[in-house]
Amino acid sequence: VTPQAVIAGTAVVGPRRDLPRAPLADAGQAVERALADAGLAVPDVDGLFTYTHTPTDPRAREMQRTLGIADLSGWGDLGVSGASGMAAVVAAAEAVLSGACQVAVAFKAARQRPPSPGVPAGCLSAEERLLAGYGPFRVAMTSVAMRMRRRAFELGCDPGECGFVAVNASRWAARNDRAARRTLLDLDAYAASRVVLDPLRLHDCDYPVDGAGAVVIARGDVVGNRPAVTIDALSCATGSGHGWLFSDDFLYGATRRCAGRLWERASFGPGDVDVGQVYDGFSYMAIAWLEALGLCPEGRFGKWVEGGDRIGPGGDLPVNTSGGQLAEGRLHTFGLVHEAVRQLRGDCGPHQVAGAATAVVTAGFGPQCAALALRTG
Amino acid sequence: MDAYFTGLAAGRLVAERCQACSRLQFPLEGRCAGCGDGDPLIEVLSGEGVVYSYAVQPGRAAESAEVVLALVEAVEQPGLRYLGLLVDLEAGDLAPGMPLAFRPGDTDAAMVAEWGPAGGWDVT
Repeated sequence: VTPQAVIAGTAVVGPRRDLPRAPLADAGQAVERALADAGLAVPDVDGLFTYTHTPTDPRAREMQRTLGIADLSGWGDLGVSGASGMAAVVAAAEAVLSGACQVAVAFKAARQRPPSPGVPAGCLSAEERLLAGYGPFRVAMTSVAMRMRRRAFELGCDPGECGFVAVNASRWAARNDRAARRTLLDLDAYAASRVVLDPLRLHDCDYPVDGAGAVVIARGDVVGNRPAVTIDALSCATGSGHGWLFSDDFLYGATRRCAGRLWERASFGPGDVDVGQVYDGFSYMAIAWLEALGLCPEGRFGKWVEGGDRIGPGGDLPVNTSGGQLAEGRLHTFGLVHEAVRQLRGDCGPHQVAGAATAVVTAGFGPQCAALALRTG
Repeated sequence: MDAYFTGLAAGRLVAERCQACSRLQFPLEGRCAGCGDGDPLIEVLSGEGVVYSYAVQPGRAAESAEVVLALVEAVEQPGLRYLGLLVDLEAGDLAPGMPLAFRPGDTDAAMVAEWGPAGGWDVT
């Protein structure tokens, strides 16, 4: 029997807006706390994986030196084309599942004002180069504003439906003392917020923070009887097309392929999900993920969400129960994984979903998608 | 992408045409992403397109104008999309599938594509 990969421990440092520290210091603290959470120690670690989307992100080998790990049997610095920090989580899980590592740690530091990621190498730089001629536009944000409008064209959805996601994030964040943005938002405040790139508003954008996250993934037999969460399935997808602005599936990017692949592999299906942690770098992305995962009928989010009650505290399908990246803060998916694990352990206190036994976590958008199906045991 | 900017400078909108599968492609990649053929030819398009989607950047100050950045689908092939500025059009009047015509434009940073009302100007 192939040993399963489990999430043995997680940690989040911050998120906060006040005292920026060196990214390596935050990330190192996150790794140490995640190991303590797992009941493991630094010498147990034989794999380190990180998502390096900016030039100052600490590398896996720097973390090795900081922690004092004599040798690694697997490591990786996953670059800008990955599915946010989930790229590192997936790489760590794959290392464990393949037998390359017994205990692999994924980590990532978050910065309020990260240095520019620069232009990715190769043909994918075409989007950056094209966009640069038009002014201070960013590829992901521009593509999201255009997707919101295209969704209105094709499916008749009011872009204001994104407000339900922003309001939901604030409702959950109000119950989560980790959250960096705890101002309660209502639909009127959302509708009155600054237009960044019409139809995209300020409250559609994730909340920049300083901090870090870490996830410890281990072979099931290594962690023994300690409480862990099983990785039931994982999946990644790029979808087809050139990139973000020129992806073939403009409304959903690679989310539908990623979700389809996840459910082919998982032991449970969308109807069995107790809690969802879906990527919300922009609120639109959360809607696309919920629909791609089959948690909500395609193009029906605005009605399905029942004014927000459905995904809020006490709802049928609680979503982004930490406040997500919109309100807990932009931890590059590590906050979402941390929250999913805490939910399945029943450790969430005021934002706990009673009896949560299954969770789905998704990351990224456009051509950079990944997802995890998690369960207790 | 150099051929794209050279084309703009000469007033032309170009795509890559795959010699093996005949597919048109943009952005230019030097290789057909549909069939993998490595030798696509540069082809000049008609400069006719339709609105696919757009986003509006509000004016930063009272006197600065809003910028309407669009994705425009070329009439030559479904899914063949271009980025460009919408000019001489009111954002409120825009609708999906609305016909547009291309012309080269210039910003401080680079040559860009502009799209205005079909028949609104002569395309050379």
